[in-house]
Parts: sequence; structure tokens; C-alpha cells
Amino acid sequence: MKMLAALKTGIIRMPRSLNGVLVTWFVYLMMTYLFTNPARNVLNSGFGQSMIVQRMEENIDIEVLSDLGPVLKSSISSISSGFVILIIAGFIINAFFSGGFFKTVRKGGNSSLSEFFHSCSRNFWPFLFITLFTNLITLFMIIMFIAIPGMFIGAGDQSETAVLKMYIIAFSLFILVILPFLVLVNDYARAWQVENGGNKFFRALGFGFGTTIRTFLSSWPLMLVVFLVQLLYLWLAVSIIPGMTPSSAGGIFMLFLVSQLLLIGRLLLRVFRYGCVTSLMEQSFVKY
Amino acid sequence: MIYSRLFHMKRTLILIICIGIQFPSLSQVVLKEPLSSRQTGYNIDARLDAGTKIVHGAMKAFWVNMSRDRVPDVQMHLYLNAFRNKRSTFMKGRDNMFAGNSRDSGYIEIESITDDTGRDLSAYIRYISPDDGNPHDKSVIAINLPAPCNPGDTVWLNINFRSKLPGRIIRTGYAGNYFFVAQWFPKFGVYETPGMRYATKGGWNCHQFHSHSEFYSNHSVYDVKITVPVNYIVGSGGMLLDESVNPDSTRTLTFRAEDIVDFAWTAWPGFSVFNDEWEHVSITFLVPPERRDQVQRQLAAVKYALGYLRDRVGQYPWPHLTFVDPPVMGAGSGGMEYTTLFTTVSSYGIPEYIRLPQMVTIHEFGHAYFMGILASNESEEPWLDEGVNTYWESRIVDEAYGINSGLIDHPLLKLSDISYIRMNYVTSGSRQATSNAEYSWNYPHGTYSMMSYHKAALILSTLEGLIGEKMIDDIFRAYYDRWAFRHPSGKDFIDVANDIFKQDAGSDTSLNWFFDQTLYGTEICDYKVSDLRYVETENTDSLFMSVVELERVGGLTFPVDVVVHFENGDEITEKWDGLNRTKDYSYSGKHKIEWVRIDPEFKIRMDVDYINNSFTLKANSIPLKRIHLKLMSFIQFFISLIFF
Repeated sequence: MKMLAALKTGIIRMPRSLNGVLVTWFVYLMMTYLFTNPARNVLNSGFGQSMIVQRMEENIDIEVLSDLGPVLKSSISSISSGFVILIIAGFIINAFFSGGFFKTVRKGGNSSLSEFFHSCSRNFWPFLFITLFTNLITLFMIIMFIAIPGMFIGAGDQSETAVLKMYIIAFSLFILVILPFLVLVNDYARAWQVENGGNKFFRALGFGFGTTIRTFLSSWPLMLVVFLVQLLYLWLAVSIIPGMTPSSAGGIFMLFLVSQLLLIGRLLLRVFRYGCVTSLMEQSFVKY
Repeated sequence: MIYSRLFHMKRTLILIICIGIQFPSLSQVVLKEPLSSRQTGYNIDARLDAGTKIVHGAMKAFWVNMSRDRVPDVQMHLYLNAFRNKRSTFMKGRDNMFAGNSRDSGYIEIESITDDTGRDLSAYIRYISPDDGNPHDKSVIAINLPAPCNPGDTVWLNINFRSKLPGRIIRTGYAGNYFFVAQWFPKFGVYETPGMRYATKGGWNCHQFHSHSEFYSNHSVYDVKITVPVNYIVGSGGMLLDESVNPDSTRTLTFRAEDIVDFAWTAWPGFSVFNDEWEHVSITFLVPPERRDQVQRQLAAVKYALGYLRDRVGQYPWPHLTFVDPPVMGAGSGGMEYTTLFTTVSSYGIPEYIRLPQMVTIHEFGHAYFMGILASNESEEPWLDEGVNTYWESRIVDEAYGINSGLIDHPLLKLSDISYIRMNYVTSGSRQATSNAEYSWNYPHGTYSMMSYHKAALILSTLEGLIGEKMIDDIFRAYYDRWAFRHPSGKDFIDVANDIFKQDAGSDTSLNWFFDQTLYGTEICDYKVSDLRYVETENTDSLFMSVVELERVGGLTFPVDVVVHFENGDEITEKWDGLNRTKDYSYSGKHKIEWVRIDPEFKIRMDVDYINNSFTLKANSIPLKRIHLKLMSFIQFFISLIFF
């Protein structure tokens, strides 16, 4: 079956992108460190030589944090004001590196770092546009599926159960149908772009929409399986990282190691998705 | 004191005999014997028109002149008139949130008023504004009596009234077919006699309805008949005596409540009703059906509170208790108290580790004691009800659900109720805005919660830290015993505290030094370890002269413990009275001081900065590094997830 073959190919081609994944991971690390470090320094100076931090050995103590007063406000303010810049930077970086990943997972792709970067730069603008376009559609669909029903619900005297049921249906429809569809459009468009080159973003998008619709019966289940794998992985990460409460320098290093390895795994799973979609596209079309 | 109590009891007995003859329904029904002097009573026949949102009432009410004065008038609250228009004192204080349409407005109109001889008194009514002189505020009326009421006499009033409920629920009103009917009938103010609370002469205490003030009234007997559409379920602060279905598709429920300060009720066809028992108390819980998952935890909370307060303060005297969890559309009526009826707050699907519903339930039930039994003046001294009650709520919640996790108990986040209260105080920018001597409506804008609830609760928690839990319990037990059903003032409470302190501590001193600076002052508490230094000595017996410098940054002075810990494990506990701004401790020895802590057990909850209470040479940076790493990994995952 095409879907199984695509999944298998995705797994096989995923390790080719390890160099690119490590580069991406390093950029993420630097970016978030630069973003969070000022806040950390502020908190450190706020607590100084106080023993009160002992109350946070098991978990976060909000009462202790609230005693920081203006120091805490300044930390929160610096984090929140930089957050928009971080999101924009993340968007651009993801668009850049995904160009290299799609190159590595295509038929005949390899793990060369120079080819990775070459593809990143060659496909940056088309990828940026394609991703921006599909993300805007996603945002629009979120508003349609969640906010607009909410307006109708709020206008009437619905019971809480009825309101909850409406939201569950809207959310499920979005997660199970709309989101996989849009992700497929995005991935097919980018796979086509890498194959054909040039700045043909509208053609790429057209290909993405067309292919997703034409191959929906095989693409959509594939994407659901990929989503499930990623969701399980995320659940694993969310279970492990918050549960670690190291109390020594060695423990802190282990926390760092584990969290970063989990992130690398997350990035590899994204590449796995690219590989699956690319493989399915290759199976579906002799010439595209 | 003894003479006046005997005089009081004799009058009560005469009163009951006289009124019982005229008012047969006022004989004992609910309780074995009266708990209060029953200076007022209300017999109300109410009919709810669900279409027009109006309650039509026919009321026979009495007020007994228990003073030595010839009283020329009676004063009554018409609380619902606060919602009449945006010019009322209440609405002005809410920054004119009133929409101004007929749906949102509420009011109470007296259609007719006569005395017991049938004389029409409508010409004798005048609206008064004793607090702010607002001529447009109609929340208080004075009825000039044709002849002054002599000591011992009774004023009887027959009032037909019409109460239009507001469409925007601020404790009272309607939403859709849900009704919460509170402050809905003309209600006597309190005639205070000389020596009662702060009164130096006899007079009415009948304040206007302000946006940030609550209520004050006599303990009364209520006989209330409520007629509603037949499919409505009714909950009230009374005991249900009778119920009948009428030919016009309505039903009439007859309730009686004895010795309570307020009568409120709710009606909605959507309620599910759950019943339970605790010792002598029959508990009724009205809740929307989709919140059935909250029922057991709510019932458990109120039963725990019943037992806790019985053991430490006094017995809950009534045989009935009703509480209501309003539907979402009626949320404005949630979190309020009416002695034997209260409303709580919850939502479908609140996880077990968040105890907000139980906290609200315990808090609103606690008002049965401090607003219901003790019945202080909530307008003038809100701290004596809200603050005291919040203090007890924090004790009950944290003991019931975990000393460090009473409010939130999740592996990643734990929060106790008292910590939550302290956080509200510490982070408030207005904690020094005014003192608790001020009347509540004079508090600066936005400070009512902090002043009435959080600051006062922390004051009591700090007092507990200083004198111990047992002594605090003794104080409140004595307060209940001496002042139940007698409208104490803040001064009365402090007098009780002083008596118990002197008795238990065997001391001649009082606690006035504490209350004067906390309740009636505006200073904050902040102790600090300002420095720790060493000087090497040439003395052959020791190598170091260590000096600890402490500072009292805030204006409040409390005695505190100071623990000094040395590198070899030795510890010394010092007692600092906190009176001077600074205090130094010096030690000679071979070992350096490793750390110093002021108030190591966090007894002084009013201290606004725990961070500067300690100093160590070996600061532990692990918790902050851990938080930083987790924050970083969260952001990394977030970036990797949000974009395809």
C-alpha cells in the first residue's frame, strides 16, 4: 500500500537529515537562550543571596515569585515583549531550514550539509510565502471553527454541556480534517517547489491543493498516522521534562541533555513527515 | 452589663408573648427557643411574575422599640432602588456600568403602606441619603410616624410592594428564566441604642446601598410564601413548611426562617436538587445538572466547614442550610451569603486538583457565623465579617486539602489558600491606601477587596503566628459566646481578644499595640537581613568576629525570631522585639556564619518581602536553573510546533 510504503520511506530517509537537524537545534538553542537569559539574570539578581529559593526545590512557588514585585514584573515584561520577535524569527528560521530538509528527503537526496544549505537558500522565498499563506488559512479556519460558533453559543441560553459538545465537535473537525488537509497542502507544495525550483509559489500551492484533493484517500490517513506519532511523542516529552526536579548540578545537566535530545527527536519527526509526504508524492506521480 | 442583659431578656420574653398573640406564626417552629431578641419580623406573600420579572409582595412587618427613646420615625432599606438608574449612589460607584435600559434596571416601588390601624402612611415617606446626600439615591426611606414610638412599643407596617429585578445580575436579578431574588423587600435598618457598637446616643443605622458596601440588619423571623410558575424549583434561606399547586399553573411554597438577618431565594426550572445531612443540619444543594460531578466535593466541603467551625468557634444553630451553584447565566449571583442560604461558584469539568469551588463554598458558608450569627455592620466594618471569614476560610481549606496545597494541588504547581491571600496583599499597589477605621464606601477605588478580605485575613494570620493557634481559637470562641446575635463592633472583638490574651498569657498587657498598628494604621511589615560580615581577630581563642545586621524596613513592629546558623552546624535563635529600626548581633568564634533567617517559620504573614528575610553565603541556584531550562525547552518545543 502506498501509505505504508510512504511511512517506511519516511523512516529510511529521516536519518539523512541529521546534520541539518543538529544545525536547526543549535539555532533554536541560541535563540531561546538569548531570549530567556536576560529574564534569568534578573531573577537571579532579585533573589540574590536569599534562602527563599529553597521553597522552589520541589516545584514553582508562586508566592515566592510574587515577592519579587517589580523584578518579576520586569522579567515578565521582557519575556512578553520579546515573544513576538521570537515567533517571527522562528517562522523565518523554520521556513529557511525546511528548504534543506525537503531536499534531503527526496529521491536521491543525501546528507551533505553544503547541499542542505544550498537548498535552504535557494528555496527560502518560495517556502516563506507558501508557509505564510497556509498558516494564514489555518488561522482563518481556527476563527471560523471556534470563534464563530462561540458567538452563536454566547447569544443563546445554552446549557454548559451543549456548549462543551459544540466546541468538542468543532475542535475535532478542525484537528482531524482541516489541519491535516492544510499540512498536506503545505508539504506537497514545498516538495514540488524543491523538485522544480524557481519562484513558482502559486504553481506550487496549486499543486499542493490539487494533489491533496486528488490523493486524499491515501494522503489523509497517512497524515493522521503521522499526527498520532507526533502526539504520542509530545505526550512523552511533556511527561518527562516537567517531572524532572534535579537538585544538583549533575541533575541540571541531565535535564538539559534529556530536554535537548527530546527536541532533536521532535525535529527528526518533522523531517519524517516531510519524507512520508515526499515519498507519497513520488509514488503518485511519475512526472510532476 | 448584667442589668442590661436581664432587661434585654425580660423585654424579649414580653415581646414574644405580645407578638405571639398578634402574630401566631411567630411562635417557635424551626428552633426550640429564640436565639435573638427578634426586634423585627417579616411576613411576606410574594408572587414572581416570570414574564415581567417582577415580584409582587404583600408584607406585614414589625419593629419593636427596645430603646429608652421616643422614636419619631422608622428607616428602611429599599436596596433594589440602587439599580433604578445611573444616578443612584450604587451605580455612580460602578462607573456607570448601568446600560440605562428597562431590561437592566431594577427597583422597588411601595404601592401602599399602612399602619396597624389601617392609616395610610404613604404621605409620611421621604427618601433620605444619610451618607452622601445624593438626592437621586432612593435606597433608604424614612417614615415619619404619626406619633412617636414609645419605648417598648411596636410599629406595625402593612406594605404592598413591587420589586422589578434587574437584568444584569449583581447579586440579585434574573438571566433568562433564572432568578436570584435578594435585597428584594423593604427592610428595617437597625436602631442603635447608646453603648451599642459606637453609638453614643440612640439613632438609626441605615446606610445607603453603595457599590462597595454590604449589609446590616436585625435578626428576624421570616414567614414567607413564594408563588412561582409550577415548573420552577425554589431554594431559600428558610425551612420549607408547606407546598401546594394552584389552579393557575403556579405553586406556592411556605418558608419560615428564625433569627436570621436576611431572606433571599432563587427560582429556576433547571436545578437538580441534592440533599444531605450533617448532625442536626439538613443540607440542600441546588446545582445545574451538568455539574453533578461537583456535588460530592461541594457537600464534603460544607460538612467539613460545619465541623471545623463548631469545634473552634461555636455551634451552627439552625437545622437547615441551603446552598446554590448558579448556572453560567446567573454567575453574577454566585459567591454571596444570606446566613442559611448561600451561593457558590463552580464550572463543569473543574479538575479535582483545583479547589476553587470548595474554597468559595467554605467561604460563603463561613459567613453564616460572622455575618449571620455575629452580624456585625458590614458597611462600616467589612473586615469584621469578610476579613475574619477569609481568615477562617484559609484555615479550613488548608487543613482540609493540604497545608501547602489547599487551593491548587498539582505536581507542577501547589498553592495554599493563605499563600494566595498573602499574594493578593503583597502585590497590591494600594495596601497602604487607607486604614480599616474607614467606612467601606470611602475606601479608595479598587481597594475594597484588599482592605476587607486580604489585609484583614493576613492581620489575623499574623496574630495567630504571634500568639498561637490555641489562643486565637479561644478568642473566637469567647467572641461567639459573648456576642452571638448581638451585633458586635470591631472594638468589641478587640476587647474580647484582650481579655483572652491577658487571661491565657497571664499578662497585664493587651493586644492594642497589635490592632492599633495593623487594623487602624497604614504601615507595612518588612524585616530584612541587611548585612553579614566578618572581622578576623588576633584573639587566640577565636578567629572571627561575625556581625549580623538586621533592619526593620516597614513601619509595623512585631517581635520576631532570628536563627543564626554556623558552618559547624551550631545554631542560635535570637528574639528581636523589632522596635528599633536596626539590630546587630555579634558572635566570636572559630566558625563563620553560614546563613541567617528572620522569621524562619513564616509566622509573620504580613511581611511583604520574604526574600530579604534571609541571607546565605552559599546561595542555591539550582531551582532557578531548573526553571530556566524548562522554560527554554518549552519555548523550543513551542517554536517547533506552531509552524509547519
